[in-house]
Amino acid sequence: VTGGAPPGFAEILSALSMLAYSLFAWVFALRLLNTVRGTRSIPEASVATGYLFIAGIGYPMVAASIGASESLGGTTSLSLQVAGIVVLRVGLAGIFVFTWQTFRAETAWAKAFTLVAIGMLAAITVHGIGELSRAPSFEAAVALEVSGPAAVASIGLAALAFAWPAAEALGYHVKLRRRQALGLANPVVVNRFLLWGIACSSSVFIAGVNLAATVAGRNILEYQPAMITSATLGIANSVLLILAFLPPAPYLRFVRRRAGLV
Amino acid sequence: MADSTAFEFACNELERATSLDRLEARGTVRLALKETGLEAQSVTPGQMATVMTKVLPKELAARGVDNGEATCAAVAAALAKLPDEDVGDTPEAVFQRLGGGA
Repeated sequence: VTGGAPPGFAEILSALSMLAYSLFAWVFALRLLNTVRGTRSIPEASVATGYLFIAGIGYPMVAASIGASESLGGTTSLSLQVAGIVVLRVGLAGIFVFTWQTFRAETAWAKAFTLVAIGMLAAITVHGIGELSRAPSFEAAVALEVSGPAAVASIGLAALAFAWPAAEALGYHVKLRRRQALGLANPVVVNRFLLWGIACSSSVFIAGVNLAATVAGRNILEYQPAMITSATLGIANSVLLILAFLPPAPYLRFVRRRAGLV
Repeated sequence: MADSTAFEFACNELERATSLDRLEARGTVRLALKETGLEAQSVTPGQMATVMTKVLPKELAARGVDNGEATCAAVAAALAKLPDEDVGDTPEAVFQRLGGGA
């Protein structure tokens, strides 16, 4: 929402989506970071960093910089946006590290792929900060962030950050389903891979919609079909993540009952 | 990454107790593991024992091995006595922890 116009359906849905995603991220990340202090486990640290920095801090900062630009003033808004973008990219790096360390810690190509992806994230961030600092106004800076080659590269990398774990999680889910048939896998964990795989796929789809809109020359912060699709999938995403990582007892009972364990 | 002790043990025992040669024994066990979503590098003695009793008898029968069921039962019993091996942090273990142990 920019300026003083009252928020429409798409803006309200987007705000709800961000709120749900952000709340999940804070609860999930704080719980994990609390355990990481003792274990120093890289998968937990990286996924907690990923969700906290992307959904808990990064998106809200970028949204606040745009939504409250009139009251904050151009310079403060721009600083907030730059900081939000940096935080978001660190979060994406966390997701790359999590996927590498969880699924392919011993694989050379996965390490190389992760390092290249992080290098690219750093490069577009440095390039983006340079562009933003040269923008004549805050509105011009926002326009730079949501259009042009830099925006395409940024959204493309975000898509990649979730496409890789989606493929790994769904592939691993298939393996675990086979193990489950022999009683060699916990059905709740089997289900968790499926839920996370779908949630990551949904993030890829959101990025794809935004990428298509950007390539078509639309401003994704104002283009209603992209906003509504992203927000709806974002809410679904949060529900999937809660069921996967913060599962309520009735859901656990449902999964176990369906697996014939109760 | 090297194959797990449980995998090596099962293959060696199968080779010793049946007419299968080394390559056939390892290939048969690998196929059984693939069918059950397990990997030679990370399979534990407990998992290998389950595969031995529930999957391998029919694989051995398909290869014309006599007395496959009894052989598999004996190998499974021996596997059960092996100590658990540290096979590293598997994705399954990570996801178990991410759910708070649930």
